[in-house]
This record gives sequence, C-alpha cells and structure tokens, in this order.
Amino acid sequence: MTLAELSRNTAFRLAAMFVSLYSGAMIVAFLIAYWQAGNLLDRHLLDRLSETRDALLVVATRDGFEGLRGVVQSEAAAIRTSDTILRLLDKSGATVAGNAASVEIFQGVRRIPRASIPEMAGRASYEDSFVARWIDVAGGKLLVGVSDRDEQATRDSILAGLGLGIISVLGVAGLAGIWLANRAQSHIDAFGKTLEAVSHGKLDRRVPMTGRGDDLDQVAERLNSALDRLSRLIERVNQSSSAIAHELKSPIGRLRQRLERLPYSGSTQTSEEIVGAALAEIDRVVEIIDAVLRISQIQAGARRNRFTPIDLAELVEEVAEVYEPVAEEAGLALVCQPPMTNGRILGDPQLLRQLFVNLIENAMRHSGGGRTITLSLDQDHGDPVAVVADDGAGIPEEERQRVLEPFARLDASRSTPGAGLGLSLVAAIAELHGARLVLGDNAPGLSVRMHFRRQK
Amino acid sequence: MHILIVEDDTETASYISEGLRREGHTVDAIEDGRDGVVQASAMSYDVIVVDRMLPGLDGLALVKAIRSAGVRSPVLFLTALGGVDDRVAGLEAGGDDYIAKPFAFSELLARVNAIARRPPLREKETILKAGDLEMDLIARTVRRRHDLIDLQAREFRLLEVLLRNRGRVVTRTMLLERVWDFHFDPKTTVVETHISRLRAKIDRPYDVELIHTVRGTGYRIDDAR
Repeated sequence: MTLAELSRNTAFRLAAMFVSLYSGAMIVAFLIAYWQAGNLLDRHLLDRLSETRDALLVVATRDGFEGLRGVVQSEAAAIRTSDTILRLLDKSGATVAGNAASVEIFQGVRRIPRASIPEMAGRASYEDSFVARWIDVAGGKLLVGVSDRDEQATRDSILAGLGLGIISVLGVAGLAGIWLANRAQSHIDAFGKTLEAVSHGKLDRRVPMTGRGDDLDQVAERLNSALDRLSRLIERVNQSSSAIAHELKSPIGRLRQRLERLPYSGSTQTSEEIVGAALAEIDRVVEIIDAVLRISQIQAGARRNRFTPIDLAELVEEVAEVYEPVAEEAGLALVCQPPMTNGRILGDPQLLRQLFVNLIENAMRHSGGGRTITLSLDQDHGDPVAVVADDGAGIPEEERQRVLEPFARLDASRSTPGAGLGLSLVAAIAELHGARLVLGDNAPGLSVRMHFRRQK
Repeated sequence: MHILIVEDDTETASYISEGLRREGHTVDAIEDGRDGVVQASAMSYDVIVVDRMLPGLDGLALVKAIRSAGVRSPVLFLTALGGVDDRVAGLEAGGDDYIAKPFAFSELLARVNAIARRPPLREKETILKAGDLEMDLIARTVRRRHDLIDLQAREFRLLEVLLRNRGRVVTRTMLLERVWDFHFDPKTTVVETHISRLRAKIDRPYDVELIHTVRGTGYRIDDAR
C-alpha cells in the first residue's frame, strides 16, 4: 500500500486521528508534570543554597572573619568546590578568599552560567549554572553559589523519559494503524475483486469472510446474500425469457404451416378452417404475451394504489359459486368448506378473483384422477389464510418452488395445454398483496395456502 | 351510426373503418389527438373510438378534454395488451368501455353497438322484455308466459345483461366483465356453462328459443329466430 492509498484508508485515518489526539493529550499532561517537577527542583536548589549559606554563617559566628576566610580558602581550593562558588570580601571590598573573584556584588538571587565565570569555565566538562547570592558577614561580604547541575540532570532525564514515551506511543499507534488499515484494505480489495468478477458474469463468486463476525464480516454476509438473490434473479430471468421464446415458437410455427397451406387447393381443410385455426394460434400468442405483460405490471406494484377493503370469505364464495357448475361439467366437485371465517384484507378484487380462478382452473386441469377441489379460509394468528386444495396427483416437493416461476411446468404435464403462466401469475398477485404462498401436500393432492395480512 | 375513430396507426384505423362501413355506418378517421378533440366537439357522433396512445394528445387527455367541453358521445378506448390499469384509468377519464388490442372485429362491433346512443331509455325503466319473457328489476322476478322462473343472483345478472342489449350481440368477454367482473380470459367454459344453465331454465321448457348463440362471438337475446 502506498502512502497516498494509506491516507485514503478509513482504518488508517481513524488510527492516525486517534494517535494525534492521544499524543496531544499526553503532551499536555507531560508539560504539566515537567513544569511541576521544575518548580520542585528550583525549590530544592534554593534550599541547598540556604544550607550552604547557613553552614558558612555558623563558621563566621563561631570563628570570626578570619575563621571564615580559612574555611572559604580551603573550600575553594578543593576540587569538588567546582560545584560551589565562593568569594569573601573584607570591609575595604578587597577579595580575601574564594574561587570566583570575577563575580561582582548584586542584590537578590541570580543564576549565573558557569561559562560567564572565567575562573570556573575550565573546571568542569558540563554546562551548568550557579544559583548565587551575596550575604553580609561580620567584617565583610560573602558570595555563595551552588551548581544546579544535579537539578539540570534530573530535569533532562525527566524530559528524555517523557519524550521517549511519546515517541514510542506514536510509533506503536502508527504501526498498529498501518496494520489495521492494511488488514481492512485487503478485505475491501477482496470485496472489490469479487464484485468486479460478478459484474463480468462470474455469478458464482462470493466475498470471502473471516469468520470473526466483525463489521466487515457483516457487510460481507449481506453482500453475499444480495449476490445470491441477484444470481437467482438473473437465472430466473434467463430461464423465463428462453421459456417465453420457446412457448411462442410453437404456435408461431404452426401458424406459419397453416398459412403456407392456404394457397394450395387439394388440402383436406377448407381455407375457412385454415384461417380459423391460424386465428386461434394468434390468440394463443396474444394470450401468452398478455400474461407476461400482466405479470410484469403486477410485479411493478402500481395496482396497490387501488386497493380497497375486501372480505376474502365473500370473494372466495362468489368464485366458488361461479365455478361449481363448471367443475361439475368436468366431472369434479368444487366444495366451499365451512367454516369460512371473516377475512378482511386490503386488496384488488379483480386480481384476487383471477388468483382464485387460476388456482381452481389449475386444479381442474391437473386434477389427475382427483374428484374434489376444496376452497376454505383458515386463520393464522388472526390473519386470514385462503386454501385451495385438490386430491389429484399433487406436485413433488422438490418441484413446488419451481412451478411458481414463469413457464415452469412439470415435465409430466408438458402435454397439458396451457402455458405454465397460471401459477406464476398467482405468485405475482399474492406477492402484490403481501401474501405468503405455500404449496403443500394435501395427501393426496396439492394444497395451496395463501397467508394474507388482515386489514388493520 | 356516425362514428369517429381517433387512431394513429393507419392500418388499424382503416381495418376498423372498413369493417364499420361494411356494417352500414358512416366513419370519420383522424390520426392526431388534438385534431380529434376539435372533430369530436364539432360533430355529434354516436360513438367515438379512441386509441390510448396518440401523437399530440393521448387518448385519456382527449376524452377528458371533450368531456369537459360537454361532448356526451359514448367513448370506446383501444388499449395496449397487458394493461391491467388501463380499464380503470379509461373509465375514470370518462370512457364508456375499453377493448385491448389486438381484437377480433366482431368484439369491437359488439362493444360499439352496446355503448352506442340509442333512443333514450326512460330513466325509470324497470321492466326488461324479450318476446314473452319479462324481467322486473324492482321485484327481481323473471316470468315467461306468466310462469315465475327462479333464478340465482348471477343468473339474474346474466339475463339482465343480455336483455339490456336485446337484439345485439353480447360477446363472451363482455359477459365475463359485466356479469362476473372477470377481467381476464378463463381457460374453462365458464360462460358456456352458465348460459346453458340459464337456457335450461328460460328456454328449454318453451317452444321459442330466446337466447341465440352467435358463432365465434357470443350470445344474443331476441324473439326473432
């Protein structure tokens, strides 16, 4: 990953933001600590200065000016006094002892860099300062100064510690950010590659999942289920468009044959018969196209604007009444089974009529030795469930979902006239009404249960 | 009858006009929707046949325009295939009936005849008659030669639709729409079955048959043989 890519990476940007906020807060905290430690060290330094001064004042009181001169002289000569500056003046202002003759009299406490005192500059390899003051002693004046070297060293080591801490925090957080970003990026790259492959027609490709169940995994899961639906949809569209073409091919083929025969005399059919048959084929084609257009219009859902309150029980009874004699003529019994519970729903009565007619006609056509078609209305948690059942051949379980798709017909019933659009129209109408369609075994026969939603 | 056709597809337009002229009607054909409004408002037509999709002004807007201009001529819409919403939209715009393309000419003719203006029926017509058959719309009774005939509600409605179009053909599709509110083509013999049940009650016991089958088209109730 290049730096430019890194800066666009969400995880990295988050990590970088977090690191800078965190280190900002840390720096503020460190500055406060450093400032307080500095105050403490300064007080400590002043205490040492006072201690040294007090010790020398004790000598002056006890041994007099001369005794003090002896102590200052021996102190100044000692090697370790490179950490202390002293200068003793007599009443006339002449230097009588000490190691810092160049430091003039001043008021109060001063910090004097070692480099500015020629006598001391060469005596140590480090750069420190002296905190010094002039005091009055009996018989003269005395300069006392102590090196801040220890305090300076402590200050430096605190600063170094804090600095190192910040740098290591920044480093660790930065590295973690890059690592996290890389990990997220490799996932997202995998998403991108998969989607690219899918868009190039490899519909079986899926986004990899880590199994950690994190947010990226959740996105991957949703992406995969969307891809599943998409590929099923595309498969269905492919299947149904080829099925529609197939379905149209045969009546158009027959139509062509019939019209070809028209000009030849000597045909066993009169031209009137041929034209009649040709018109019937055209009606067949028109019917298929009409059904396909109807299904797509219903699926588009525009009819929902025209929903009105309907009593399903009334509607089912009405359709049953129309079809009872029709079924009877076909040698079947159509039974509207009580109890027909109240089934108030919102819907389109014309489409619902077509739904029940299609189911009844489907049951009649595929009754396969059955004798009875039963219409009933159940309840499921207060929602009405309309049931159309027959005692015919039924549909094998593995075929049940497929028959709801356009033009899907069972191989066994291939010879039965009528395109396989009836049930898919039923499925489209049920879906428009938010009804769940369940094909089940009526043992023997097929039961179609439609779980509607009651009118609220 | 004087009939106006507003249809931009010249082949369909001439197919309809030729057919209607053969039936003895006078036909004006117009291709553009706006010209249609002008023409429909200028003349008093007995029936106007309007295509839903027109250049200039579409069929729905045309009918709304002529209705607001006070034109009362009955309107038959020609709609595209698969238009589940077209019927309602057409009726709401002020149309009287609709027929989906492609259609059989006999279907169009039957619908034109059914909506055509005829000598105004008295508003309070409560008795429908055909030969010696009488339907009382208030008492909801049917008599033939003074025999009271017991009909179920839907059979009554079926007979009523036929009687309201006495002497004219009512097609299978028209019956499906008007009697059962079926706006689709059932694969079974719904119409035939119910007509035969109705015949069993009102025709079979008597020597004169009133319900006539018009082959390939529909049915007609008439006392003329």
